[in-house]
Amino acid sequence: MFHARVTRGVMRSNSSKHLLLVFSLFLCLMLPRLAARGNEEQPIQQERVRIVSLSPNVTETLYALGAGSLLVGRSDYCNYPDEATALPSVGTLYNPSLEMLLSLEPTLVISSAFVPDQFLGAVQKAGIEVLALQTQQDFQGTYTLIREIANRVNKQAEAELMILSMQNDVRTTVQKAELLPKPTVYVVLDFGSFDSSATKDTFLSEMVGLAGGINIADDAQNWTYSKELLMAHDPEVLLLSPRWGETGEQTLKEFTTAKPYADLSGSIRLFDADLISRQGPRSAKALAELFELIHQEMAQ
Amino acid sequence: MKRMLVPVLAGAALVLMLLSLTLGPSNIKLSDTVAILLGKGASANKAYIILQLRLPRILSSFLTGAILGLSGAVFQAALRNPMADPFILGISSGASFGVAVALFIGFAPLFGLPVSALVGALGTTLCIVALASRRKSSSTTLLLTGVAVNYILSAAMTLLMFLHKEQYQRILFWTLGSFSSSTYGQVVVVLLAWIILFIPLSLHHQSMDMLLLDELSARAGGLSVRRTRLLFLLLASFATALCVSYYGVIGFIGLMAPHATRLMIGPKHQKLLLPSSLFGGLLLLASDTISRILLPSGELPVGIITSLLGVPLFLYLLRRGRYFYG
Repeated sequence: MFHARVTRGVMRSNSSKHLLLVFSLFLCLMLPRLAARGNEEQPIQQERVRIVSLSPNVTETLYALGAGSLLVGRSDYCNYPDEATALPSVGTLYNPSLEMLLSLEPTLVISSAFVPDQFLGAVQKAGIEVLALQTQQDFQGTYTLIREIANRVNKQAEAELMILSMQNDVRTTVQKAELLPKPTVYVVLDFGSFDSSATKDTFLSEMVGLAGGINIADDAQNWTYSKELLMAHDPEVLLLSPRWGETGEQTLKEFTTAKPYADLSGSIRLFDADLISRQGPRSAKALAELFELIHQEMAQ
Repeated sequence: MKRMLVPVLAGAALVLMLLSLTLGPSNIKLSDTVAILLGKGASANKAYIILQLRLPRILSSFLTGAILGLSGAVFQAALRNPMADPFILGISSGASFGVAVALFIGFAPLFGLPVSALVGALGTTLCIVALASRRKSSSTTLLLTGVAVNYILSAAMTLLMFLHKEQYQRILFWTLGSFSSSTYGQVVVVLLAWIILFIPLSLHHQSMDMLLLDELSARAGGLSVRRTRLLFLLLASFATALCVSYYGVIGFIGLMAPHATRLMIGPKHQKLLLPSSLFGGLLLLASDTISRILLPSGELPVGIITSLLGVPLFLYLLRRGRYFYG
């Protein structure tokens, strides 16, 4: 009796082993086909271009060119113009969700330099075209960016008109700036343990120069600056950008109560980092705003 | 050599302090520096840089190194483990977690990062001590509880940084450590912390020697092992937490300064405490000076220099001398 039960048990265990073996073989044979089928189905043939923008300046440019309707998705940081915020977001620039992006069925993804290459590689592998734009080091580069985006959405004429208008605005600002005295300026991008500013090798530094300021951080590179040099220069104008997640007042309070910044004699002015740091259609307006901030007393 | 160690280290510290005062990205001549220190002429701007930026920074880095060197000796004796450092009971992970939470919730502008870091560091240390005390706590229980809690908090902090990438740089920079925002107020607090730590330790140096024995022998010698260990650890933790809340996490000094000093002077705490403290101060001051002069404008995180400078020195001492831990 006991022997029979043991034999049955062994047989049952043998049959389940067989079943498992057959199932494993089936999986081995089918998986490559399933995977291949998944890949075949990925390229989505659409007549209309469907764009996911992974950069705020790209989103702004598309709307300014009149191609906003082509957008089907954006990043968390794309907050301008207001219509853009109604679009579904695929996450941050550093860690977007591939699944969310694919669910929006885009035909084109336009990204900035911050999006990981690995992610863009995965997007391309899924059969979606990627336009990876590089950060431009100078103001002229803004026009290059606009043209690159316009070429891809067939809005070349609109882009040229926009660039012409921007160039006019920039010329007006630069001419106004040339007539006024040039105050020394320091752009406070971060402060505390380590200080970050618009150093010589940045787009922002060029903007300060065009807006009629003398950027004291032009003697440094790589966005870092020394407290000692800041105190030695003691600039006339300090442009302070609100820290992420803080209001302008909160950042201003932190800055003006912390040593050694509290001992600086220059005038502190808050600036909209979103407007000034994004290379796009609002860059000419940003330059005009920077001019107003630097020459606030004159304007008043 | 052994008798001369303290005067040599103290003299070297003084020379390095003076040298460090004259070095910096804004070229101020030695004659100007001396004139400023003597209260004579030189521009107000130069005087500000020497007296308000460099001097408090030099004093802060030296005193912090001194506290870390002393605390390292306490932790290695109280936990009977040569790998112990002042951060083993969760001070660094607790402080970093406190900073990450403050930035994540938005408390940072209200309380400031130092307060958040201090609350995180002390809260974590007390939690670890309480968790380990529930059972008959040995030094190993305390050590392992510390290691476990460190892992949890590090994971939680990484999670916060991952979810909140905008603050990643701020948290990272804070954890790297910096003396660039030192003030005289901080110098006074850190000096008081050093005095409060050093006096009881030097009065009870024999208890520290006994802690290095096994518990039975220490008890036979009349020492209340649990109470003494806890008291020493809490004292050193508090002093370290204060430094961390002001200047961020600075590794290596607390681990290596006591070992390097033992190599030079032997394991007896009566002779070890002051040189270990001075050596820690000297090493951190030298590292901080290099960190602020290496780049033409801007500076490097001090922790990088501490390891780059300290490890070769330590390896040299290790090769040269005979080492006794306990």
